[in-house]
Amino acid sequence: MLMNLFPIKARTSLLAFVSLFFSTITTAQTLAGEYDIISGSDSRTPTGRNKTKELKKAAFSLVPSSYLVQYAGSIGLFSAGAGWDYGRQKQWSTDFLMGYVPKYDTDRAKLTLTLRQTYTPFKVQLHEQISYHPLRTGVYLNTTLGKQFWYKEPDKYPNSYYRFSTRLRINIFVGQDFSYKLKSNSSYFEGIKFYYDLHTSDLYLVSGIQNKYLKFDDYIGLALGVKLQIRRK
Amino acid sequence: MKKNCTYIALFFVLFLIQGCDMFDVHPYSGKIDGRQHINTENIAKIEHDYADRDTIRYAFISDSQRWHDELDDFVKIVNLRNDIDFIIHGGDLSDFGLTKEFLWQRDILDKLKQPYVALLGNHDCLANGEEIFQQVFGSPNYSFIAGKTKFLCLNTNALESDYSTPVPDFSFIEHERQTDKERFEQSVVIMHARPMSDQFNNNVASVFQYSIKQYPNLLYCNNGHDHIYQKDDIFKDGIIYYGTPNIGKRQFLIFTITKDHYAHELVSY
Repeated sequence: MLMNLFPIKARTSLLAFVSLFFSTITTAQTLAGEYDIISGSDSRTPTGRNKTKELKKAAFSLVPSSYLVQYAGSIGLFSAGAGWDYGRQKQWSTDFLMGYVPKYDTDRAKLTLTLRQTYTPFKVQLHEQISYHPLRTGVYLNTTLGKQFWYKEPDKYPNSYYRFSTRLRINIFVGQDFSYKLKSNSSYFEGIKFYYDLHTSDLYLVSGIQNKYLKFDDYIGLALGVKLQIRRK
Repeated sequence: MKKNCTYIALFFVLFLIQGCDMFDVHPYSGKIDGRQHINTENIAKIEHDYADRDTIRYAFISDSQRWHDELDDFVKIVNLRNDIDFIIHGGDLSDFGLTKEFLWQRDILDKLKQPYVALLGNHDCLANGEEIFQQVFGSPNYSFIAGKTKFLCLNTNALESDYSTPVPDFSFIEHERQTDKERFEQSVVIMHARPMSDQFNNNVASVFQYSIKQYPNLLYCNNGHDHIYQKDDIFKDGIIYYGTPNIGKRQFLIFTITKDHYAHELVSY
């Protein structure tokens, strides 16, 4: 079924994109593993140890630190992807998601790609294992695959005929999350995070602001997600 | 602590239930909840209710994209009157082709006491908008008969199409001329973008004019798209094109059609 979703060109570029994504991860994982071995033989000299430590850190930063699934959010009914959490308090996170939109009342189903930047400044430790982040906020860019959608209007139109892109949506969101840290010290995942986001996009926002008729839930959406945190050595 | 967790879980469940219709799958999801095929239903009502009428009076509005407040006020104004038989929307219900935009506008127009029909505008064609329009309202080309007048509603947004779809569709125009011949004596042509506008296929503008003039007693044409009031004899042949302002200007046209005669009025609110 997936084969009939898109014209060949879009399908090829999608495949290329996905394979690049996975090869980056695999390379980074292999590198991280190799430096693990080297660090054993080099550990006699302190400078060598530091150097390998840095390299190891660099390689590790390419490996995603979490996997996630999300429901709704204007990027698909369901979407899944990987995330990179960083910063001293892990307050920054960059996620890459691929979403699936069923066909509903249209001719074909759609796939979307999302790049999301999240900032989570505060942390409240509720319990030894449970922490609560009262605010998560950020921006995500979403692009819909398929020739119906364009970044820039086709050349047939007079200049600036439609001043927006049907393909690229800019979304903003605020939300909260709860994290649960697993008791085990050796499991592959070290924790699980549940989050919700209230979000809107450029086009919804411009409609909502302009019209009193539209209510909050007309142009603000709700998304739910689960993030699985990978254990770091 | 366990109690706290239960509360948190409960909060989440409540939030979920509360937010059920707040889940947005995608701006172009094509997920249509509620009423569909509105034109077909309303045309049946118009043809049935006004079959024996000598005088027909309708309101013509257009270009209500992103003017939900103004459209809502229009509905209130028209519902206060009892002399309007039906309402024609000249197209551009959506600005960006978003699925939700069509549904927002449909929900406003559904509050009208009288039946209404909508035409396809160029903005309604954006992304997968035309698919949504067809599902919610109906075909881009259609016609109906009110009293003894045939209303021919045409898709004229040629710039949004390619050559695989004929816009305007001359075979449809010709076919409709022959259909139900005995039921109508005069004709009115309604479109979103009029000849000579940026959307129209101007290479065939005069051919278009010739083909609609073959209709029995063509009274005049209606168009939207230009967002201003227009009254122009474009082809200098006595057929007037009446353009209605966008609903954002809080203006619309009212047409009264009697046998061989018509009158129009620009209403501000």
